[in-house]
Amino acid sequence: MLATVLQALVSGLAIGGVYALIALSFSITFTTTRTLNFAQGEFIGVGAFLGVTVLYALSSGEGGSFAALAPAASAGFRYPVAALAVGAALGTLGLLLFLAAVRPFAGKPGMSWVMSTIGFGIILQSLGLAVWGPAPVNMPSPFGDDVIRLGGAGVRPQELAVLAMAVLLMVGFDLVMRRTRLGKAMRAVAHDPAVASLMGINVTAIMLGAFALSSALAGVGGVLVAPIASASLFMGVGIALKAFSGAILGGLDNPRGCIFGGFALGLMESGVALWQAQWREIAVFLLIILVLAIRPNGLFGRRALDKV
Amino acid sequence: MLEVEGACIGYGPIQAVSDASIRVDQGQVVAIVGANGAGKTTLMKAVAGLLPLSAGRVLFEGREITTMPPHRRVSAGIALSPEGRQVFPDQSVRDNLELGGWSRDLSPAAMEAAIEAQYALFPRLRERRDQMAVTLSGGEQQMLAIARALMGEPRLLLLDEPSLGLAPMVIREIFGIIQDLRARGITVLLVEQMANLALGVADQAYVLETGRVTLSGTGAALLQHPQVRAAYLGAGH
Repeated sequence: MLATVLQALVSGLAIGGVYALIALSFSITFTTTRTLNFAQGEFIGVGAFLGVTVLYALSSGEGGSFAALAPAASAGFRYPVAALAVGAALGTLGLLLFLAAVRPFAGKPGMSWVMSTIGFGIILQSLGLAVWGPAPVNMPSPFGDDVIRLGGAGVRPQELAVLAMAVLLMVGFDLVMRRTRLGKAMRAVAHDPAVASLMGINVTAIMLGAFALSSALAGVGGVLVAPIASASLFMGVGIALKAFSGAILGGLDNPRGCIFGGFALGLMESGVALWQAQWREIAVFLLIILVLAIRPNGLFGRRALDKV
Repeated sequence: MLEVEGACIGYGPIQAVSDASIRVDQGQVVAIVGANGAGKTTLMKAVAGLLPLSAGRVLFEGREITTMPPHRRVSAGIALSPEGRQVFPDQSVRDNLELGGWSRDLSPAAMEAAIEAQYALFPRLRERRDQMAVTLSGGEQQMLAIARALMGEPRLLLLDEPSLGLAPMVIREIFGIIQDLRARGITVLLVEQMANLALGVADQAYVLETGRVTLSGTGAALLQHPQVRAAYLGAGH
């Protein structure tokens, strides 16, 4: 019994780490631009496939075929290089998304940006299907697939790696936001873009940076999570939906709240699955609806009253 | 130093300022007085670049800046302490000041020195340096807003309603600071509902009524002007 609980705890924390990372990525664009990238799910899937492509290219010859990469393909420096390359590529894609699908509509009445980011994601996914095809492919974990025994529970090394990387990225982000001049400027833009511009801050540049960072996190999230399941162009949509729910639960305008919400969702999911797997989604989303009914801005969201 | 020529500024179909022309000379304190809703803040926002002109132009030190975005005007030498202070509530006093110096791209040591210079001018801010701005009193927030604007080392400081909601003693302190700033060679454009105070410190002043400049002259002359006395100084009732 204890072992199964521990097992659920570890896998809940691992998937919760991914949810938290993507929830944070939603929060980053929301606080700075009051818009969200509804293509974030497609960005995760494309990130995973780009990661597989980079691994394949780096390991040509010894890494097996594209659809079935051998464990050697992720060995050594290759996996970190793939993660960095995907981060950079998706970051650039985020700039494109902002310029093409968000900036023309942001701050205008109506919600055109919702449709335009969804559309951007669908286009991206279709392009991905044309390039890579619909079949999921395997991305080997750089840490192998030998199960680690932790107090009776079996844990896959990639789960621990995902948790560690997600925590590292989020702590790094938090430090940048609180300690560096750039982070303080981002928080200033989040509070009030007009007042931030009076400081001499180029608000458009900060917004571009926010979209680049948010999209890079989605891509890296895809590379992190792909070895746990497998890389698929459809894998991201479910993750993004859960992450978004986590963000709403924690409070979309509070990055730390979003991180909490992501972890909470991951843990709830694996906790309920312990009891009845088919009740997982029902229980989790009922709880979210209940929480939001009591606290409409999320657990740690700013009250609308705070803004005079 | 600053010339606004025939400025028309509106929000959608509503014209808030019509054909306003004002001029600020180097080293002066210039006041714009007028009732609530006369368009004073609108004019200030336009000078800072937050609102576009639908007609007219703005020149700063002889250069046309009509369409220059606000963040570039800060580097050009114009800083606004906005109406309602607008300090960043969830950041410390020190960090608010640091943000004010953003455009100067200072080294960490130079930034500390610049912040230290503001503490010398506003000792109260030094005592509050690590507090979140939201915890400051109204007067302290106003000082922070002015200090933050000064962090950009402006040659022209725009002060929008610095007395708003403050106790008389604090207002006197703020106006004392305005005179200090003039002594230090900083040109000030001041928007104020408290006409007697503003005209008292102003070298030059304009009266704005429903978006139009209706009177102008030296501060002293406008203080004596019967129309001003009747409308804004409570005399003649």
